[in-house]
Amino acid sequence: MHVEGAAQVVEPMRAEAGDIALVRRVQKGDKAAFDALVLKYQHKVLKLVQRYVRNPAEAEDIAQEAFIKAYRALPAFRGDSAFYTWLYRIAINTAKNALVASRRRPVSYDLDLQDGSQVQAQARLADTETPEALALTDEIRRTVNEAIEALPDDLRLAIVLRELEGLSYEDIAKTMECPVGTVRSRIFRAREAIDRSLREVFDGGLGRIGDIE
Amino acid sequence: MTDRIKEQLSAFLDGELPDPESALLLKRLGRDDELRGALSRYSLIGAVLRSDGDVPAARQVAARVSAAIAREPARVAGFVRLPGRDVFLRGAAGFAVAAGVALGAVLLVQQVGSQDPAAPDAVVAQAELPPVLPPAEDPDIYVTPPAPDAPAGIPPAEFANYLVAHYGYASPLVRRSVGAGLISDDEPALADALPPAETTEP
Repeated sequence: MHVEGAAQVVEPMRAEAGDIALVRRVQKGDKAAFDALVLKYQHKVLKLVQRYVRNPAEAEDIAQEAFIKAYRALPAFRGDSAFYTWLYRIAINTAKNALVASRRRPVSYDLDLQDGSQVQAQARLADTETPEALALTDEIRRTVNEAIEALPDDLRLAIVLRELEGLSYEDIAKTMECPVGTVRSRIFRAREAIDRSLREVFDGGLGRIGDIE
Repeated sequence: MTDRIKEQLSAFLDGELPDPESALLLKRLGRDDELRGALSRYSLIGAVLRSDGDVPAARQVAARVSAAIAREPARVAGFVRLPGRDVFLRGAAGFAVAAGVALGAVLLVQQVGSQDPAAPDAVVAQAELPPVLPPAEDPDIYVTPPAPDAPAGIPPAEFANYLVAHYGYASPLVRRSVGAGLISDDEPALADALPPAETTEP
């Protein structure tokens, strides 16, 4: 499936509401809710950081630092902007600070980004230094796209409407003329089918499944 | 991990899981590494689909962040110092301190007045105290013993001044107790200094 150019899709509104619910939980002392936010956004944050730092290990360190800063600042987060927008700003600042500290130039052009959607729209993965990391990211992209192409039509349409168009389950149900529960099941089965392929990639030597968390 | 749990996870990622189920799933996420891995990969799939380029797979970020925040205190929003609320917070803190001190004072006064004369420590202390005023005439009236020259606790004058200074912060119940505990026949000035308090006489 061709997904190039899909970067302009904004984060689904429903997911933002879910993020806010998780943020509120964190603000009440629930650390597991912050774990869930990290699991959800770690890949995007890492991708953002790698625009500034080539070394994958160093980029992971900076991403980790950004999340910890976000955790410490979260009590003051009022939800005026989307969580991921706020998080991405922290990540950018953390990466810039790391660059200043190491007195190196950024990998890519300097970004003065205002929100996460712009980050998504402009983000391009910088080359990584290790062949293994480069091979893994290439393989992930290829595997996901091939797995999507191999899905039955109803599953593919459901996950495309969700991930690329950002529709809620209710809107997808109207579009596909089926119950919301069916939409939920189709999206899950689509993800699970793609995930099976991904796990084969990780088990196949390019990465270990336990490492991808 | 069953397909039912993973389907819940998929809906959770999309913000489509009802709150009660989300709460249970979060608890499970905290102890189920397989479930955490699935959430990470599901989000990776979405990131790859929405991206116009490659997305790196974060390997250890989540695990390291989780370990790091486990060592951090919980970040509860109510404990954040927010602009504009300082006056309220300061007032509340002052009230709490004053109420605590007043309550401690009440307990101290009551303890001094209710010591068992038969106890060895009380016998020693009693020997140093002047006689208590008229218990024989009206045993229901409590009278604070006059201060000794070398009291075991806080000096009475400073103690009384402190209580008067913080009187306004105390609750009505504490005010009554403190006022009744302090006012005695030989301290009319203090009685005048305090706001009107209900009598403790029956």
